[in-house]
Amino acid sequence: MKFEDMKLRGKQRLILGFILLIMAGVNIFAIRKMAAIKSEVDELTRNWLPRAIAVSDINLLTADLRRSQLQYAFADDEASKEELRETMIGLIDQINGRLDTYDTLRTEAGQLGIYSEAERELFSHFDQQWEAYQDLSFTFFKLSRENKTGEAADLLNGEAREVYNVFSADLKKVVGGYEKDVFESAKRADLTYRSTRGITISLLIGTIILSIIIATVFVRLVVRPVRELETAAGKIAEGYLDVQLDIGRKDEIGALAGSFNHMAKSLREAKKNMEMQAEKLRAQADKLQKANTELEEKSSILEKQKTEIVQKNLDIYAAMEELRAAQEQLIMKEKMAALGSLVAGVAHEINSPVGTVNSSADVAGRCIHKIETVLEQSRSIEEIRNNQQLSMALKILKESTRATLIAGERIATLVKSLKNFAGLDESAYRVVDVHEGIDSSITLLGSEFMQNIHLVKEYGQIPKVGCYPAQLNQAFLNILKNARQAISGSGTIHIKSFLENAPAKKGKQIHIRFSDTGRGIPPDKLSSIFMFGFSADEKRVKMGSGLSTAYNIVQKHGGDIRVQSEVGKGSAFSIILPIQ
Amino acid sequence: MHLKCSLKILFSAFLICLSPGGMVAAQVVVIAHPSVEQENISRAVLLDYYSRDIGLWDNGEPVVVFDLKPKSEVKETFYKYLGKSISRMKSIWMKKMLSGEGDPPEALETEEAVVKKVAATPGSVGFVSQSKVTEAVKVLFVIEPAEKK
Repeated sequence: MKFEDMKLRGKQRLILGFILLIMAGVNIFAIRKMAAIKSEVDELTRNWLPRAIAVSDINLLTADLRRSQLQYAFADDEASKEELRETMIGLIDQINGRLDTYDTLRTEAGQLGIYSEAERELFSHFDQQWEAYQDLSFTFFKLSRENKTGEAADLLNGEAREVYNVFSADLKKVVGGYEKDVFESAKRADLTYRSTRGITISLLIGTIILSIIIATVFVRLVVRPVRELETAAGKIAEGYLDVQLDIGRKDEIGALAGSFNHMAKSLREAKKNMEMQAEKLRAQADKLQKANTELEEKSSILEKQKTEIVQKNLDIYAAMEELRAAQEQLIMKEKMAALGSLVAGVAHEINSPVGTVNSSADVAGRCIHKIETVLEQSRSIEEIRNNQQLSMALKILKESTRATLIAGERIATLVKSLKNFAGLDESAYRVVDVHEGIDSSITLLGSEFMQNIHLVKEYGQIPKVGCYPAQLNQAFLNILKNARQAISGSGTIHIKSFLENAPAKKGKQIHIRFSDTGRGIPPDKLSSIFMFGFSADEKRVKMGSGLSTAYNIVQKHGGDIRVQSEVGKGSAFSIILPIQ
Repeated sequence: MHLKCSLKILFSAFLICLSPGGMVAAQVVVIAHPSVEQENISRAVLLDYYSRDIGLWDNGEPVVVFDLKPKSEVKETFYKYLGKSISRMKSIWMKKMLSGEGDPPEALETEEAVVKKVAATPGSVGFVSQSKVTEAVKVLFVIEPAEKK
């Protein structure tokens, strides 16, 4: 993989790693050198110094020993000799102790490599001389023991002195050698320190320079294409969309340049699209403007129309109100008309019993006159009792009285029915027996109206119903009237009442069916029979508003009217009333 | 530093090679008067005899030790075996002399003289090269040159 093609992060890591590696190398070098310097110094303090002290001590102690020996040679009394012997034993112990110390330090120094050949030679020479001195000492002590003081003193001052001088010089040279060694070592340490410092500093400077160069190169590597990008982006920002970058790289910047080119291309396309869209929009805006104007015009028209409609609505409402009033008037008229015919019928009905009463009263008057005459002409009770005329007159009187009573009853019934039907004194909402209403209606229709009609009543067990009885009776009357008028000649009207289950809601409802054997209603007229002002046939009696009124009344009571009919066989009107 | 050390060792070895008979390390034999009953004497006991810490054999006879006067490889090997340098040994003897515990051992001029003297002195101990040993003395043990200390 080429460095150029690496990702920025990779490049960064590589360069950082390289710099860190150099730094680490410099540090390790410096630490190692410092450690060397430290060990040099440590050697000085740890080994050379005690070694020098030990050797100096040996020199001093041997000098003491020699002085003691001299004193011993010239000592007079045994006591002081004894004391000197003790002293010398102590000195020898001390010398041996120092020699032991020196041996240990020398071994250590040999391992550390700070024990020089010169020192070894010198010390070896000292050892030989020291051995020789001890040999001479044996001779000296023997001579002293044999009280040959002169010879002993000569030995000490002669041969022994020379030997002593030689080993003492050796020891001094050893110590002097240390001074030299220490100086050299310090010099060496200083040199090492200086060279290390120099190398470390130069390496550091080199690293810094290298880092700067690498960083600069790296920055240029990154910054140059970024600048190009920046310039290109600036151009685009100014509106020059025909910008194309050519950076042949595969890292993030290469990818960025690719994305940038793509973006520029997209922008160009988008701009083109936008211009097209703007053109379209402009055209559409014009159209819209026109449409808007039209709309506004239409809107004002509509507003006018709306006002008109509202006005018309109001008119319609007024018309409807008028219509309703007219309808009510019509109903009233119808009612009046019905009442008119009713009154005519009722008048006729009343007329015949009144006639009966009149004629009966006439007959009764004549009978009473006959009776008075008979009573005046008769002389005895017997005669009265046996009078044929009197008994006949009484018989006729009795009959006419009975006829009068019957006629009176008939009139009373009529009046009651009339009152009942019209509900003159009780037109409010009441709970009544529907059968009574039907009966009243039949009575009011009159016997003449019901001539040749076979009336069958089949009343079932039904509860009393809450209603406006006057209105409901009108409905019954209208239905009955319609049934009678449908029959030409003779026929049957069958009235049946019963309780049935209400299909819509739970509970029961009253069903009253008026069926006739009339001419029937053709199927195409069935749908319009309850309409106001219906007239079935020119030949037939005009129906007027009878059925319509009946329908409205039943509807008002929450009920329903249904009709079944077959031409030539008859019709059946059913009034359904709910039980509250 | 290590190089320096190695060089020093090499140089020392070179010096040893130059020294007379350095390479042909003679085997040193510890001899005794035939009357000495001990067959095996440990290094420590031998040191005690030479340093005059023990003056009698187990049977009560006095121990007499001999030294070689001239500085030689035999002498060096022997004292190295005992674990003391010659000069240190002499210090011990000087102390013994000063405290009156005894004089240093008699130092003879030649190995032959040592053999002769040991053969002639009952209870005596000495050391010579193996080649100098005669029938007149009893060999206690042989110090191998490699056997240091």
